[in-house]
Amino acid sequence: MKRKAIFYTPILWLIFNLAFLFATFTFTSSYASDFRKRISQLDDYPYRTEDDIKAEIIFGRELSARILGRYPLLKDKTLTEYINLVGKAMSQHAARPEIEFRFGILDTDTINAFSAPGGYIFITKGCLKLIEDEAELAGILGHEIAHITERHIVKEINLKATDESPISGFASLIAGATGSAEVVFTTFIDKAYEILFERGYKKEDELSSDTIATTLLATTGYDSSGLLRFLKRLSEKGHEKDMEGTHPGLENRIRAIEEYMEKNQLTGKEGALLKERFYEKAKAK
Amino acid sequence: MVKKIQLIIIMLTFLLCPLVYAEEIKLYVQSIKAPILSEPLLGAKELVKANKGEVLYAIEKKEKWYKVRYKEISGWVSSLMVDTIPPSKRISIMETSQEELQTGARKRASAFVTAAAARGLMEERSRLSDRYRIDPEGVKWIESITVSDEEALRFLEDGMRR
Repeated sequence: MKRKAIFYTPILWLIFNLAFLFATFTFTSSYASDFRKRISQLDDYPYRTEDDIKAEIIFGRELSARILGRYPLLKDKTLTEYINLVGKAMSQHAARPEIEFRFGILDTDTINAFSAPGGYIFITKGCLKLIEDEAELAGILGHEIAHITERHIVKEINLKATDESPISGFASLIAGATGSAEVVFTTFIDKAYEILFERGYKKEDELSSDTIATTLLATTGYDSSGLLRFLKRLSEKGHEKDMEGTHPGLENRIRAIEEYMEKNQLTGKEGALLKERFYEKAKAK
Repeated sequence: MVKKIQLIIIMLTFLLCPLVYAEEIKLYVQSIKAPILSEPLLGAKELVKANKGEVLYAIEKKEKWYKVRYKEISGWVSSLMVDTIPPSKRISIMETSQEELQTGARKRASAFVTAAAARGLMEERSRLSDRYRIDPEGVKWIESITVSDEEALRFLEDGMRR
């Protein structure tokens, strides 16, 4: 009996220890694999080849021609250069280095800003009139930059297109060799135009662009409440109705930015306003 | 003997587990600079700044943040500034170019050709309704404004020194 117990004890110990080794190894492997999977989903948009990006730029260029068909371009070289300096500094802190961002001013008193895929961004003269410092301007441009870096229009249009053609990327959809390619292209431009001027972006895309803009402000050194202060002024002055109904309620946006700033310990943190420079470059116009 | 085997197994466990973790995931900085912070909060203390194209090794993910290792420093970086692929070079389009888009084995008609054909359609509609009006010359005017990335960054730095 005693001999039997002695015989079994080491075997049991060995089994126990091997099981422990196996369980630990399996757990860590599965954790690491899950972590890798989550990181590989960092950007869930699959169409990121050079062709797709070129197609996105061509598409954005044509959409911009439609935007400028609706509102005339303000051809003020000095002011446009200033907007480009601020916008390009912001866009370099975002995550799409392959895109050349370009900024233009729309000659209208409407208070709004727009972006087209491929890096084309427009701000209205009415919006510039209401801005009080460079941090606010940077915040508004940051919001539009985010729509492009997050490919909000591209994704929305592509989602619908892939229902019909699941193997197609953005490049193939607008550069297809079929005779109807130009019709498809024009239809997509119409859809994008509707998003900009009629339907608006999805609410979550707008809120996400607000938080990205606030992140960019904090990263560049501007006052991180730049966009928040501008939206509050819009709300206080009752300008919400002037925004063509393409943005979610200002109150929702203001609350979401305040929560984001609070969570990130940005509330009350100082940053550059550059009020004098803004007045010198933009308000003197 | 049993104790020796047990000791060997425990040692193996400690030796093998880090090997699984050691397969670190590379993240490439996409923004011109990416601050690495002491905590996953924008208001946290900045430990160091990584430059565009530099590699960060991801250790952990928390919402929109990655805990990373960079030059013996461990800290948090915003997921908005990194990607799993190296940053791409600037991609531009030249309308005069006859370059054709090519994806995989199938050669496609140029996106320029499609866009030009679509422009024809859009110009036709533009004459019929204000809703479809286009201004391609305005786009060219915006593209003629030349502000380089370097100028913009110098302008930003100058503003931050004020």
